[in-house]
Amino acid sequence: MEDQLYTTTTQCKTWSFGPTTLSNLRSSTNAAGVRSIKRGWKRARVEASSTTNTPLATTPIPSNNNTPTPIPADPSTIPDPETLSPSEELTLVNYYMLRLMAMSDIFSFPSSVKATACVFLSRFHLHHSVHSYHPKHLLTTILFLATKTENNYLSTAEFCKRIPKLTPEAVLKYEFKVAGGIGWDFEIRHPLRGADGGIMELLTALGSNSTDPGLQTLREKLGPNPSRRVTDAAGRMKGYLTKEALVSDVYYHYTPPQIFLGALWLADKELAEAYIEWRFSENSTMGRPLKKKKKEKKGKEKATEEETTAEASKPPALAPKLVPAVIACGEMMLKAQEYEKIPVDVLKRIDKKLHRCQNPQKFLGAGSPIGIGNEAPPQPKKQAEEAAPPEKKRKTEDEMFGGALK
Amino acid sequence: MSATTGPPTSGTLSNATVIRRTLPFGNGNGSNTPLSAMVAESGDIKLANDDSDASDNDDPDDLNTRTKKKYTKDRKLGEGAYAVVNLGHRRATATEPAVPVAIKKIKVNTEFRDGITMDAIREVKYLRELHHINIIALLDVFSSKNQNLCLVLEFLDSDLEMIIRDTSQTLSMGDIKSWMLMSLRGLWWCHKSFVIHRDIKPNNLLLAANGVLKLADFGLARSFADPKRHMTHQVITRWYRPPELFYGAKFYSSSVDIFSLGLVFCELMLRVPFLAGNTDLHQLELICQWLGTPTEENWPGVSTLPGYHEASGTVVKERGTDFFMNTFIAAGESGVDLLMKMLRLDPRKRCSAREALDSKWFSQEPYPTPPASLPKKGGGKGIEKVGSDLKRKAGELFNTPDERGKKVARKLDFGGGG
Repeated sequence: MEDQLYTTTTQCKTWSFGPTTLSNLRSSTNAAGVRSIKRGWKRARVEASSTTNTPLATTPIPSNNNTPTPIPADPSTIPDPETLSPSEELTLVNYYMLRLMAMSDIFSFPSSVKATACVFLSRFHLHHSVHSYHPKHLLTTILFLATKTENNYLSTAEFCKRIPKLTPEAVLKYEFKVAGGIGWDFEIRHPLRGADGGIMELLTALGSNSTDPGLQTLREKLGPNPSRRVTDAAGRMKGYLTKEALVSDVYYHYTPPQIFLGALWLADKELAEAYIEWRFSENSTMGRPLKKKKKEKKGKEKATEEETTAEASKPPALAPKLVPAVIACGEMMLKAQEYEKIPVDVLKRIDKKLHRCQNPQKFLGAGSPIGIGNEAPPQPKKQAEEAAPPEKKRKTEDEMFGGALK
Repeated sequence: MSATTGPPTSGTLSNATVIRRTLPFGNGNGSNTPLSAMVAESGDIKLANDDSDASDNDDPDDLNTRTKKKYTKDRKLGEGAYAVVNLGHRRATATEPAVPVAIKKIKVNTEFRDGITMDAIREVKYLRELHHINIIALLDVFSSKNQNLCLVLEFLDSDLEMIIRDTSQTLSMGDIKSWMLMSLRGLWWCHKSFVIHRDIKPNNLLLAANGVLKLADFGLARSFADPKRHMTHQVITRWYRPPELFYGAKFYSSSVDIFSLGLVFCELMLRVPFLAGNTDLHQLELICQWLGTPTEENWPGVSTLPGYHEASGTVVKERGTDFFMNTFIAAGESGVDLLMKMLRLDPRKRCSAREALDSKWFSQEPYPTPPASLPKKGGGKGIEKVGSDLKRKAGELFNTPDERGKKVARKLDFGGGG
């Protein structure tokens, strides 16, 4: 019943999870991020008490230094910052994913580039907490990497032209981190191709003179202008596939054809169900043997995994089992719309919390920032690498994609 | 993931991967920064981030280091403009003995200023997905301290080109059949996975010590394009390039690989490249002369290809059975039949890898030689040669321009989606 080929892909082997596993994974990544914040603050406290001059009566850390301090508050009385919960992390990642989509639209990249970039971001943060890797520092890197893996390469010079103040150095700085962070799995199986194939198949069948009874039923269900109905639904479906499908977790839980059908179901429930019935029901009559042959020949250009799934499914009817899965998948996508509605002040609050976590030096007067993109100026090694100093780079990104959440 | 059951439960597939996978993580440290740069910052130099996150499991640098430490570097096998290949070993563990590996270090390209090169991206992308006994295995990826990408590949000690060139050995038809069979199986898996290799030639067909043949060098590979998206025609080493690419076809399919492999088949029998053109134009002339001149009759639509021009010489009819039987008699009737199907001028008429595998030729005597009994050319020289195969830029015949004069056009037209 399964598409054998799909089971050999890294997407299936390493990047598919059940809901529980996925949420455990996010929790453990979150815990690791929290630990690194705690360590950073601990270090900062030690520095605050030893290297800077702190008044010490109340400090638990032993010190015999009694000179007055420029820092108004006693660092030791400042509590550890509140860290982000796994769901707050996810909210932040998804917010930046929406920004990533907008960035891709600036370039009018094909949906495959956009979708791949989003999956890269999501997968990266599955294993790397935003506590250590603020997504705002990774967006351009991820998008640029996706242009390369999706065969849509343009030079960094060209890439940077479209985004004010962006430098090639900034784009490439974390490329290895990102590539390694997603386990070098560059191939992403999107539902987009299967979806195109499915729509093509529907339109071809509806446009044919075939008197196939299954097809007749399908036509009847679709009303006076079946082709028009399919085209309209296809437009809405594409919308779901390039947004909700990416923001939600469906890529981790469902196969590409299921996601395609889920999106079609969201676009037009009746159509999706009729299509599934026509294609996968017990007495599905869509002239399979004939069609299949034809497809194998010309189908080389069309990577519809959906086809293979269908081929393997002849004897038992798939439809009764498929429909619930498709509906569940569609509903999961729909939930992702919540992320677009999250009020700005909620996002701001999360970002502020994260800012505090990552910058103990600002609150303790000692220590150094935590996480990438926050490299402290006193770390000359990293700074020297860049043409643009981190200060400047950060500012650039703040303006464009990071920083203040509006 | 079944098509029917919805979210998979946290079962077999996922469990192993949940717990911090030991992935080859990228490394982002700038440890190659010159000291002077540090001094320039003056005053404030600290012991850089000493204890920072050292204990953190998910620190990418740390994971990268762990991956790197799994391997030793033994000695250099070869160095080219594109990569350095070292013979190495995966260190023995409690359960597994040491295994020899080839470590292909992709050099930071001075011409390419855009991070990881496209060749490396393609190679990693496809080899991470393609697992087949007749396709070289990518074992790990890590980055060296100078931000070079290192691919750890299965170690293979010779290639088909060495076998072909070593005229002291006679190759039986069973041997040739065996190599063709293994190549076709690898190719079938690529095509089934929607990947076109785009650089099939004898020195990309590597041979393991046990005789098993494996497709290597996926630096030019790509997945099937979406309908209507252009593909570059500047691929495949000239001698093995099919006519549609010389005519600048923007849409082509896996049949380009079949044509290339067909020419490898000829070369296995002739022991010299069948069509060895000096220039692209010359190559096309050779194709016309030996296989036939593409015309609207034998290849409907050929004249609409952007680079099509009528052949200057006399029009040669597409070669039929007689010609092939005369030239490649050794293959026998069914072998010749297969060869002709692979070398059809019209790409739509060429057989697929699957159809080729179904050829009667493979099930007739002489049967394919078992891999372990195939002629070998291992040993020292083999190792060096494979080292040089791996480091060569994809699409090139030779490592240095003067090795044999002309290089193959190689600039990829990335713009239209190569």
